Amino acid sequence: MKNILLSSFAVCTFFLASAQENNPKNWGELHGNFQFDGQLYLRDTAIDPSGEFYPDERFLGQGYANLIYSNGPFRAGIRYENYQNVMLGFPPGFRGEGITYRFVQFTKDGLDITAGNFYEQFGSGMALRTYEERGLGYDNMFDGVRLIYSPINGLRVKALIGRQRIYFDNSAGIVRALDAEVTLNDMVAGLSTSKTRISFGGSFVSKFESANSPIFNLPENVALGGIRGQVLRGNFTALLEYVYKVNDPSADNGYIFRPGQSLLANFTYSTPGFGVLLGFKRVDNMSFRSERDGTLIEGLINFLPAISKVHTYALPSLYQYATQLNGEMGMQLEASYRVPRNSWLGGKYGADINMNFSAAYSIWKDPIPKTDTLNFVQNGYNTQWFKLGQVKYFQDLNIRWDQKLSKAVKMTLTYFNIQYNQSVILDGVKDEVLIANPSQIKMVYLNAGVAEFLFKIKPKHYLRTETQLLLTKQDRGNMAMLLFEYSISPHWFFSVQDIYNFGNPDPAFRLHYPLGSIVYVTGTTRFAFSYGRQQQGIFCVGGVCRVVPPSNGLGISVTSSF
Amino acid sequence: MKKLSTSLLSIFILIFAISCDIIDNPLKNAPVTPPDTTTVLRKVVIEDFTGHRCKNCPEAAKEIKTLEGIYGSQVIGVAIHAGPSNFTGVTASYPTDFRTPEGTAIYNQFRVPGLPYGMVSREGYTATGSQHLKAFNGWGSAVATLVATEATFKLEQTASYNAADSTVSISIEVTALADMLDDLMFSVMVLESGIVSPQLMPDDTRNETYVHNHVLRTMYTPALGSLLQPSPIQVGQKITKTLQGTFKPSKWDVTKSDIVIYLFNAETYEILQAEVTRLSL
Repeated sequence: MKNILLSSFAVCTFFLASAQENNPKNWGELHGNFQFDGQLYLRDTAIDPSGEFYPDERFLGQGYANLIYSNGPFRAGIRYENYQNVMLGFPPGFRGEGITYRFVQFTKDGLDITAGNFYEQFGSGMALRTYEERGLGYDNMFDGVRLIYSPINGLRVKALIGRQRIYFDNSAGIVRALDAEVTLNDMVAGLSTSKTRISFGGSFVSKFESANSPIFNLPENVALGGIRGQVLRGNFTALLEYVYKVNDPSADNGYIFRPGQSLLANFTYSTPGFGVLLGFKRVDNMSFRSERDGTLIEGLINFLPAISKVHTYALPSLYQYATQLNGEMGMQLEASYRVPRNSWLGGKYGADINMNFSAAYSIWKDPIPKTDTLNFVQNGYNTQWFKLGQVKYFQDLNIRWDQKLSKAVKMTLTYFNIQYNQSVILDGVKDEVLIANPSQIKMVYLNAGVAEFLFKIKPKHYLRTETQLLLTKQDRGNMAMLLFEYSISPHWFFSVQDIYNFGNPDPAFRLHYPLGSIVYVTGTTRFAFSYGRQQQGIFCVGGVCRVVPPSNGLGISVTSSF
Repeated sequence: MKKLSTSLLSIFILIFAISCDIIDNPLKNAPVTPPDTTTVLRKVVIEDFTGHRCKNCPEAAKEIKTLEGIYGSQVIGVAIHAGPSNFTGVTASYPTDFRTPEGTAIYNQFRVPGLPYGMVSREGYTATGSQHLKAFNGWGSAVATLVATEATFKLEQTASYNAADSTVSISIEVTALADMLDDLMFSVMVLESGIVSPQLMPDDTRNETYVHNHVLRTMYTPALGSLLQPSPIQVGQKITKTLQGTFKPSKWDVTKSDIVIYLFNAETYEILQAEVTRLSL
């Protein structure tokens, strides 16, 4: 690790020196950002009676620092990360410290070269997507080489080879990938002024992982191919993407050799004051990882975009849908409308209405009995492309009303009606099990409402309130939440909130979950102090279940950048 | 333009064709080659982190049974009930407490992220890595690789139960088959099989008559082992050890209990050799 660090600094120093030699005034630019999060945990017998989740360390802290140097066509960067030890709720695979990210990138003769770590995405990500989501502890970046080249106007080709990050290691599997994207209007001179803009592309991704199973003849090279196209004309946009994967037995799919397929279609129409989106997705056996036995968030090569709305309000977000890698059929319809000013509904300032409906089902499955061994291992099940599956995974209807009531008051009202299949989304129960035992399905039916108000008290002083109510007879039962945020721009921010699980079926867990925070911002530096209690959660992916521990404690967070 | 498109398409097709294995017959029909009896081969320990309220854990237990069926006594399964009480805790429906302080210590040491997960002879362990942790579907490949490798130690053991004072006497004789520059550690486990107790099943039902096998009951060494021989160890060197442990006949069935001994590298924690002996009255 020390060698990597020294090498990175040596490269930077070399380029700094070169830059100065060529042009004494051009030292390039160095940017960086830093974050530290820590929590002092307090023993809380109400949420953790036996103390099993109370960490021995009492205080846990983690953070990172990025340094990016750029000078003309040259860029280089490193990231230091530390988990001492990893905070509760994050994957425990993160432990320790070190340089996890280092790269050099430069453009020469139209060729963009990256060596080291990098993130990449082809199309919507169904073929390949690597990204970082620090809040979830997710990072599947590549360590390898990437080339990007545009041989002619309107054509961009990408090629890469690398291993993916799994916590502090790189995956055992190697990923090789190619992508070509054509923007027809840029390529064909006669179309450059056309009102219709057309682009299309193709991807090819292959992974290699050695195999030595005593039971299966496992494929060591697994390939995926995809095509996509996008058409824009006036107010209309249409996007279509299809990917196909050859046999890829894995822990996710129970080691069946069935090929995978996924189709994504999105159509939008928008004019000032009105917009509508219609989306459709069908996924069949499309888990694609660098390591065939990876579970949870490990080594995912592709990304299957969710076709439901991501909720940010605390209570509805407890029942957020997660894409099912082994198969799903989903659709989404969203419409938004701007109610004109000085109308009966819109009042003096007008209003915005947004309606969103999404639903996800399993794909139709006719299970093949395991006694038909070869057929079962080859196919797992039989399916019909456009027939809705037997198991409902999720349904969400939400309507939002945004309105400015006066110069000083803005209101947002939102209603949610959600159906959430806990057996599938959290417990990871397979479709075949639920098709055979429909009475085992744990469905949560909930109604929720949120009223949010923003008051301008005086110049630079704002008060934001949220009142949330979630009603359900299943799972943890009814909950209510109240939040007050007071901000004095640009330096101070105070917040208090409380979630009360007043309807929990177990009276011992009818608890309050308070959270208070103070934030101070100066320039690009932010200090945050908080105290709060966190609810426990369980989720299962790929046959492995994990507990997100309950916690109670004092948190500190510092971020800065230059 | 046409030339370029054709070239690109050709490259895609060529790479697709050569970077893709399409398997016509996914099942291996040939029996596993029986081991050469003149060579001392490694025995492989699968430490299966499990829980009686973990619905996918029976699948992992099934995988161990499958591998035992293929490799016989070269595979030694250990069911370690450890992890969050959501999966391992005792309730009225799941009354048996299978957890042990030793199992919990091993679970914590190896940073197990969820259940079921396992380690195959702890291969791949590093202080910050996760390569040593494998989902049960991955155990077969790891076992297949390790059972074919020559052992670096020969391990012989005897274990006898004395009913008069409920003790187990164990003697170990180790012969080095290769040089080793790290310290050699050893661990002694008591496992019990054939325990009938409820288990949560993959279909979310409770199986009242589920049979739990290879359950870790206690250890006669600290959870993370004891020093057997400091380095360096030379080929041909013999190391002997005797020890005694307490058995709880009121809680454990001696006729269904095994003593498992394994040797491991003090630096890498990798299990280098193991043996199992069935206790009897």
